[in-house]
Amino acid sequence: MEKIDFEKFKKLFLQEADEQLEVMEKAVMELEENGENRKVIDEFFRMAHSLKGSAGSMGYSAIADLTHQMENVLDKLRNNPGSLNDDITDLLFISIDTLKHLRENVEKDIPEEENPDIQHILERFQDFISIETDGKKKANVEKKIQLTSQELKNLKEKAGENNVLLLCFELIQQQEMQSMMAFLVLNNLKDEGEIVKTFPHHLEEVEGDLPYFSILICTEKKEEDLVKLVEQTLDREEFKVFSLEDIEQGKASDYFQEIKENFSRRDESRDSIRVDIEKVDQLMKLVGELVIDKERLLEISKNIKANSRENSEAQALLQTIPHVDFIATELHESVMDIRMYPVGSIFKRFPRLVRDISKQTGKDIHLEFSGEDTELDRTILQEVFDPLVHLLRNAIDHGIEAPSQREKSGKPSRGTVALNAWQEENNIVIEVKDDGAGIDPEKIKTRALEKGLVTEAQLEEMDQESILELIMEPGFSTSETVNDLSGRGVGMDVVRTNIEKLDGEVEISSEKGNGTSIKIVLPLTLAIVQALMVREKGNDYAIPLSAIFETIAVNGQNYKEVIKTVKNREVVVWRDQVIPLIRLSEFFLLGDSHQEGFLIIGGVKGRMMAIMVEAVIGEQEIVIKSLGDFLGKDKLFGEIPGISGATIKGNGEVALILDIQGILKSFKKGGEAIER
Amino acid sequence: MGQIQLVTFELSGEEYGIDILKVHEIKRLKEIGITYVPRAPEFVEGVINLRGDVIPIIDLAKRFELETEKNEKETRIIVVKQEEKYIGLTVDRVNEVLTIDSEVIEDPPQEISQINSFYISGIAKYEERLVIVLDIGNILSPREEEEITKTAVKGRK
Amino acid sequence: MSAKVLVVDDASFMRLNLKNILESEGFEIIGEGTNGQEAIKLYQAERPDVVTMDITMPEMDGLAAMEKIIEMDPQAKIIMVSAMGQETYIKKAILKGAKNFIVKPFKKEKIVETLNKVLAS
Repeated sequence: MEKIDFEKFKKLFLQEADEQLEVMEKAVMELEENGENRKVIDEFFRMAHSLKGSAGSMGYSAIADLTHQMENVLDKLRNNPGSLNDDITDLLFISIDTLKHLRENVEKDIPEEENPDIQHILERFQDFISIETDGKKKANVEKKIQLTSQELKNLKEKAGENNVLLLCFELIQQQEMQSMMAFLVLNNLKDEGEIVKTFPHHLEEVEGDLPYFSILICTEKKEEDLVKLVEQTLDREEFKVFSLEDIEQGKASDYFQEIKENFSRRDESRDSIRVDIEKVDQLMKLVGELVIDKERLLEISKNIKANSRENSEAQALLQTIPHVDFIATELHESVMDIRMYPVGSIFKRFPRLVRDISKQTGKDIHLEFSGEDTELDRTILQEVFDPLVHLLRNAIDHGIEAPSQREKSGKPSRGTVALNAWQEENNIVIEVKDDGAGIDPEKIKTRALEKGLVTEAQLEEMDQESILELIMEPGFSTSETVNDLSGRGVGMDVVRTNIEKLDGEVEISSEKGNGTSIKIVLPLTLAIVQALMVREKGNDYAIPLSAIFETIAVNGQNYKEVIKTVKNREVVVWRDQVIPLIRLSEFFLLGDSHQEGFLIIGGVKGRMMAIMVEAVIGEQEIVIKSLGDFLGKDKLFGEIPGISGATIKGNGEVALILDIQGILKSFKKGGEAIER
Repeated sequence: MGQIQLVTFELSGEEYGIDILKVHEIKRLKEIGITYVPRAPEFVEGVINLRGDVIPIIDLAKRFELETEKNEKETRIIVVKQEEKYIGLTVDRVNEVLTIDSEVIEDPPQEISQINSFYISGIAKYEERLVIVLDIGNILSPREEEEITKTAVKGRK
Repeated sequence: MSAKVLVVDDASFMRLNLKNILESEGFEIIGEGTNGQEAIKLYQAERPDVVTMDITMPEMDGLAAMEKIIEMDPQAKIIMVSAMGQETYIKKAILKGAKNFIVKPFKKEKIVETLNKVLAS
């Protein structure tokens, strides 16, 4: 192989290996969590097999050897159902870790002979495989429907006089809000007996699409009565009922298998191609340029319109430009759509993390997901991974109590951490929710006072939410205070900073004793937004429309009505609210402000302010760019207060984008906008 | 040792040089619209659009804390590239591209120039001229005694 | 005997739409309410077999009206009519005794089917 070619193949190999490793990791998680599952093992086997193949042909023998052994063990597992145990899952975990390490070495071009010694791992595989050939076979059908043998035993005991029935639903007709139909059915069934288990877990909290779900119920009622009850909400063909016997004989799990296959087949039938993400980014950049040129064309066409009614060429041009405008917008949306990734793609990296943290902390954690299909711009998704890791770690480490503690407070000893995602208008919300101890506002108050972050008087005026938000203030918490405060403050300021960089927000709610929910609210996409262009002292600034409520022209006539002075500070009375006035020229130290101009009423999260500018130029689509590699937080020339980025105007010059949140903040902090 | 090409320019009466491999392009001040960035450090003239990317322009004289009087006609912006990062430097006048043997570049003696030796990679003696060769990497990194500017405040004059 | 239906919705278009659909299927519309207050009065006066109740309405919303009606008549059969995204309301309504729900925009078949199911219960 020539050098160039080799590099290309290597890149492809690494790319595929990442995906294969991810699937394998997920598979082993699932095996550990839910027990043996033929489909998972098959998938796992397939991944190990293809990784073995490509590693072999690239000459990465350590990876090939290890995957070969994994393949063997998985094959044994397939042929001997019921032989899965913790030793095997542990060994598989270790193997995947080792594979990851080996994969790193490939990327760094570390020669094969310098790889870590994997002989001891290979030997452990040998041990397992030889023991199994001794032929210990156990029939193991019950695990397939994801009931542990203990659960089944309990069910059998209960079943004495009662009926244990598994209702499996497949919603055909209900197109919208399927989860609500599930909620309705579940609610109706609740009065008829004990709901033992649902699939998905916490069925009552799921929202959105839910074509399949199941309810396991223990009831005194007869099967046909239960069927009649369900028929009050669903058609008979939309659900199947299985008895305990059916479950034991594997009939229910066969049914599950069937619908799962149907479902995944539906997903896979779409044609797709694989594209290097760099190409998409390049495409996005070009579209960004196109949008800028389009805005420029629109500007030019305004001038042409006035001057050239007679000129037919000019008229033809004027007819073409709106079409270009339309195409550019459509193109932009299409490319944006390519960039959208399901949040599930990062969620699936968490089970492993949670498993590790649970082991470290000795806490028993159940991790749940919902809304994995919710899509978010790839760039944002990448940036949000670390903050999420942080939040998860906090939730487990400090939110969820120790098992003994939980039992004392009457909670199940196993704590639950849920990762939920959903879309809310133009935002995507990702929530990390735990059923742990919650945050004690009193402790936060004490701490904030100690640290001098707030005064007693300020605390008096703060609502619950603002008090909780104090944990995100820099300097709120240090590591030695971790335990007395559930440590929620550790690094929360970093989380907030990172999310705000993405134009997002962090919301905290918590109930002492009942857990905490932290929501990350993110814009759907970052790159292009609608903005209002304003002018001050010869410079143009863009303000994202999402942060603007209204613009008010101020002149000699209404000046005194609109702008008042309270306690030596200028304020604006807007819709019965008194909001602070910030004069842009003063905030930016550009010189004296003016009496006439425009007030931009804007704000975020209910905090409002009015910004006084000289002129309003108009609305426009802008492509958001950074201020480059040197200006900004932690860059050489530092952060620019009140500026969040830049965009390129129709004439090719740069306009700065105002950071409404930042301006509000510096106003809130200093009491005064200008730090001279 | 081989040869090196320097782009030479004037700043406050002294002649400086930058390795041509670091120079991306040279622009006239007049031909580009610089957008002023409020509350940036004083030596930051503003930002420009360089083929779709936003890059800062810094006034090299101010960065070096030199006195200078600009003749806008002659003022040029040298766009340099350091580790894939671009930045524009304003200089009083661009002279020429000088090809010299690398050997004639000597280590910078202390106190040779008005500017901090941290920014200098060497001195080229060429015919009767003395060209101060700048270390672009160091110009674009914080000086030891100078912390990364968190928030600088300046007013417009 | 045809089933008596009370239609509650603040939008006259929606009421007309429901009325057309239901009447063509042999239901009898015994009243139309435009807000929660009216719904309660009409329910008291007419005792319909089933109510279709919009959620978002002026003065008193569908959720509150539903609660009041169930208080008066625990056997009341109320179907909530909701827009997408009102999951929280639907959940509340179900917990408080709503028999079913329909999501706007709905198909004719869907609404008839839902009404029949609820009436059969």
